[in-house]
Amino acid sequence: MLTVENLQKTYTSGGKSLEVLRDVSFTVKEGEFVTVVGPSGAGKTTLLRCMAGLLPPTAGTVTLTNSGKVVTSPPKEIACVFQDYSRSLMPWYKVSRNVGLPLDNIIKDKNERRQAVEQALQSVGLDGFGDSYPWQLSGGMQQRVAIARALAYRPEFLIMDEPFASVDAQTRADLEDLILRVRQTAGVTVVLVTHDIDEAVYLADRVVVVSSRPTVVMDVIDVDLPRPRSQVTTKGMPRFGELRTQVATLIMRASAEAAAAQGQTQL
Amino acid sequence: MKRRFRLIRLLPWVTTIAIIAGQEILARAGAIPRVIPPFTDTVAALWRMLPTEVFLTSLGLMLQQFVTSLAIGVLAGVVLGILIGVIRPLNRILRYVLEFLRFTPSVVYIPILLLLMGSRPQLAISLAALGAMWPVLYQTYYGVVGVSQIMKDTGRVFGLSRSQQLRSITIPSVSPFLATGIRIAAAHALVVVVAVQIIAAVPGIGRDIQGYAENGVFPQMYALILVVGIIGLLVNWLLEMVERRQLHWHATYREKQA
Repeated sequence: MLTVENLQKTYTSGGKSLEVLRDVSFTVKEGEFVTVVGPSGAGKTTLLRCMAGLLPPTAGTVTLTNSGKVVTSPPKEIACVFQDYSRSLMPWYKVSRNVGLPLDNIIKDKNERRQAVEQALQSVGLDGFGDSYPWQLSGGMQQRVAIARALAYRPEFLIMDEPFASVDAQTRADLEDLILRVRQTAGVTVVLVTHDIDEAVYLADRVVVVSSRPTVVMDVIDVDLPRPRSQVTTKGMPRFGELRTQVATLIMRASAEAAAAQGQTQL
Repeated sequence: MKRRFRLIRLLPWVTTIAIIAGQEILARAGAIPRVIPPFTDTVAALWRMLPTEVFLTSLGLMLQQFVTSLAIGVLAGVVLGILIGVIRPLNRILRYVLEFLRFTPSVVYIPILLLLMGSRPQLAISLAALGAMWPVLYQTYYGVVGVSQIMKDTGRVFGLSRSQQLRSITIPSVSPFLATGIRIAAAHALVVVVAVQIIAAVPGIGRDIQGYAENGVFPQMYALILVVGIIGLLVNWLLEMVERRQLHWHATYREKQA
């Protein structure tokens, strides 16, 4: 399990301070798919960077409950997929090297390592592309390379920051279904941040709805839609509509409150 | 369309030959001063000069000074560029000093260094190394501070060690900047080496150019100028070739395969 407790983050530079996270708490159970959704400008990326140990929080903790380990630097149990694949994949390495680089420290045997890379590429439908460079592939394929790299690392937790925000709608739907499929086979727990309400509901076991800056958790909603999910059937269910309305209402309220707060400070 | 394309590609050659031919005709007709001899006279002088020991010695000295100064300048630039890129306070402290020194042409130190060192190759090497250092230093600095945050995060998330991050993230990220820096540095180094040879009589092609000019032996003088120009071209071409090979992955050199 992964526990986020009273997380706070305030950036200070040159005497000015910006409160991004005010008080964020939620838990992620083993094997769960949790999505974090909020209006644009909420501190979602900040939250993820704190969770992955990339950014020290001002207060509060992120704990890997199994080992009791408090996350202060990136732990080996966590892998990330970032939104901007073009800057997260190394253009100077071929696809197979991109996936295999993190394995250098984990798998000592060269053959075993090559197999792990091939297997990861296969699981995202990219077998045979190991010798290409990332920039020779389409955006969707590049993001699949990033997913393969994260899976090959064999993390317990996969943290994804708006991973499908930079690809077209059809590719996005394909990638959503891909991640639902692979997390099952890889047995990985997923935390995915998005600003897309449909995506948040479609993928999740639970949706954590967060407010605008300074961010607090507004509500955690259980998604009782049957699995396996399907772009056509699931999104056509009345229950899907109810859930997305519930989330949308919360987010609209958050945006309105943020606008009102801004109006007050201007007065 | 195809014929037109070929014509456009030939154009730079046509203009080059036209200029040379025009100069030749005008010089032969006596329309331009005698200090600019016809191009064929310059080439003939070069042809006679090429196998002589005087020329080969000077050429060797110039190349040696050029290569040594470039190597020292690049090394110093890379080390200092990394230092001020990585250690933020150092950049703050040295900022104005570096900015001032950077825009001071290195040849201004000729008089003082000439006193200290005399007209020896070391003089040309030190000044050219100084001139070559600045573009490399700043390119390296911009490269180091410009490594994308996401790329750095990626390295940390996937548990890469410090040296792995340096090898597989920092150095490749900086190398396109460095390549540009080295190309500018090579041009600077050549200019400074030849200039110091001309001004301070340090042995090399530059000193010979000055010698021929003083004695009014113009075809020989232009022959040497031609040599310096050709060396500049060759060096740039060589560096471009290395760059193309090493940075084949970079957006400038990519060839779409799929």
